[in-house]
Amino acid sequence: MNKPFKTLLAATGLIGAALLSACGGGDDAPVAPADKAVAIIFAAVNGSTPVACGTQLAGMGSTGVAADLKDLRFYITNLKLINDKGEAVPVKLAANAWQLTQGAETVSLVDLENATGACSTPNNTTATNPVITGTVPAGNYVGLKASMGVPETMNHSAIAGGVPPLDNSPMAWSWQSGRKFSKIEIDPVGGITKPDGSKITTFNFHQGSTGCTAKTDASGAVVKDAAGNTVYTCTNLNVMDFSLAAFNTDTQKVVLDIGKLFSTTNVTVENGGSPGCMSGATDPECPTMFSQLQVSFGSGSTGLPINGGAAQQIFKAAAK
Amino acid sequence: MTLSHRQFLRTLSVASALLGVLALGGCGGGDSDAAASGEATQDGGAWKWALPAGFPTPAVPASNTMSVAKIDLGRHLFYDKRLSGNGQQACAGCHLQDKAFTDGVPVSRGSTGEFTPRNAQSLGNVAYNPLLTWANPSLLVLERQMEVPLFGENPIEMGINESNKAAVLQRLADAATYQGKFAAAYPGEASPVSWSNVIKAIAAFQRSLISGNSRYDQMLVGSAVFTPSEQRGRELFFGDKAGCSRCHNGFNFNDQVVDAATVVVSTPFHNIGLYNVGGTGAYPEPNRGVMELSGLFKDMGAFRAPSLRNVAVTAPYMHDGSVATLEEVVDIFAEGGRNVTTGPYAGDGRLNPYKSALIRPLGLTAQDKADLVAFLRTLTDTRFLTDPRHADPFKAP
Repeated sequence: MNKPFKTLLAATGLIGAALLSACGGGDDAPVAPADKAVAIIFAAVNGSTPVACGTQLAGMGSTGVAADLKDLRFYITNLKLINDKGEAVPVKLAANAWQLTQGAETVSLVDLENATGACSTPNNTTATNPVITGTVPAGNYVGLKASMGVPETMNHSAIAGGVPPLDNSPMAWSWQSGRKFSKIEIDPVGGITKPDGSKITTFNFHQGSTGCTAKTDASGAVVKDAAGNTVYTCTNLNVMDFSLAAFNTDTQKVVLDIGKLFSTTNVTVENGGSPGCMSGATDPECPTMFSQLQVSFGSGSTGLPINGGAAQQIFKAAAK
Repeated sequence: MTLSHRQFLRTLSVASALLGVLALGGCGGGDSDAAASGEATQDGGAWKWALPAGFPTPAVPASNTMSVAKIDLGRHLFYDKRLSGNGQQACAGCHLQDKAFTDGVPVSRGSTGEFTPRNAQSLGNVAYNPLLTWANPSLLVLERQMEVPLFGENPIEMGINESNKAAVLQRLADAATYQGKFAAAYPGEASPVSWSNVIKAIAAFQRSLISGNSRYDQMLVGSAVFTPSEQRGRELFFGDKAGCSRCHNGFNFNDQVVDAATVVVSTPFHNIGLYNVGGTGAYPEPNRGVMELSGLFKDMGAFRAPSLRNVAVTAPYMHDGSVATLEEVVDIFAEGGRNVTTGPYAGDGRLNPYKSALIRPLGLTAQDKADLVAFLRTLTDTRFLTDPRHADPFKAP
């Protein structure tokens, strides 16, 4: 394509934008193609049934036990919409306390618990956030891709005095000096049996990076960033990638299928490690959980998404 | 520096502090003994370390420099039950000065009744620890470590959570105790009552907890004389036969030290053969050491070698508080590990496949062991355990 033609196209776009703006009663004449405001709605389902605190979940885990939701929060990072040319275009986040942009990286906290029912613990909150808002350049968008996690450059900052939404203390992941990427907890009816026969109440799924240590340089000195904070490296990032090839921001929302997430794990037994799966590399409840995330899991594995998360089925598009 | 010089400085410092108390007392200020500053001297609020002989200058984060006002604020917060969610527990609830800031029980009870998995560690000389806690290679600074007891959910310790964290800060902002203290500690800040400032102040107080005036230290400078048993114990401790100093060495009697001049930090962890559950090498959950973070079996049961300063007052011992007395600790090392003969954790720790090669039967006689214990008891710094500058400011002196 030659340059003058491109310029002409751009000019046409400008005129189009100006016309649209005029039709919509806009109060100023834009000088660039108008960005398109988007609001990506997130929700949780169990199969096709909406999930909420205070409503029992049926058929959870490999044994199909009923369970009460106790927590449901997760960070979404680097949300992109896929346009009709197949390009993944970053969503420029609006500024609010649920989402943060630092350099080229973005992160949002999706909070789908409202501190009712079994979710009524002191670390649950009545405030919820089911939406990521922002803008994309004008265009035709047909799909979506994102990661469930926190960018490594943001993950290890301090919780206290941190920037929202990274100051959320329930999402703190102190044992790896980072954050829980997702905190999804259920209380199976009848409890969870440990090898010694005793019972515990909650099956926790806490996803986060593991094997994290301070980064050292060739001389062995601890590496600090420009702000003087310690730089960490983790052997297993455990960030989940997913993409939805067909996604319409106007008519559809992103749903996380809790039923599918727990479907291959027996949530009525606790065989060791942390209660449930807290991402520990040797935790016996973790391999089946991470298989649903399509993240290579465990000691000696990469901790990276398998084939970009292509085979994951826990995030889906659904009608609004 | 000679001892007499040090004593002179100390006397001078105490005298200055007294003058300060009198002056402030005259103005109705009160409660100003906290303005004294550990082993340091006071100089218009600026901080100047005054350290025991042989102690290097501690490393202090540039983002949290020391000041007299900050340490004073941190000391009050450390001892203040209002800092916990339910107002029932202070940091000092599990870190008691007379026990070198440990708590005398195997594992500690948090503000809501939950128990920690591991034994509370001493805060003496914590400024020199490059890593904090028993087995976490990722917790490098007090300011980050403190997020665990403050905000942790598994277990709940101080019990600060999303529902109460604003209210707890407000509680502190409203308290008569803190009127002026935050502003003095963080001059120029518009809203100094914040969680990050709470944490920084407590960290500054903790860094001021320097212990280096034990009978051992006094013996080194000639102001105390060891008994024959203590002297034999000292020779065993540092000698090849017992070899304790292979991991418990240097001024702080450990093998992980950082100071202001440190470039390369060494942070070894050791499996000392305390467990070998079912002969598999396993340590009982949730206390499997660095392995729980790294996921690597080679790190099974690997814990930090703690400083032995004040060790006689920090019982019970080991990461899980499973050894009651110093005598038993020495017995375990003498045997090259611990053979657990009954119960769910049965297994011969002496044969743990992940055990450090340094841990082996030592062939110590009963007298040797008694001498080692006698030496270990010389590491108690009585002044540190009673120093009013580290004491509870809410208690009448």
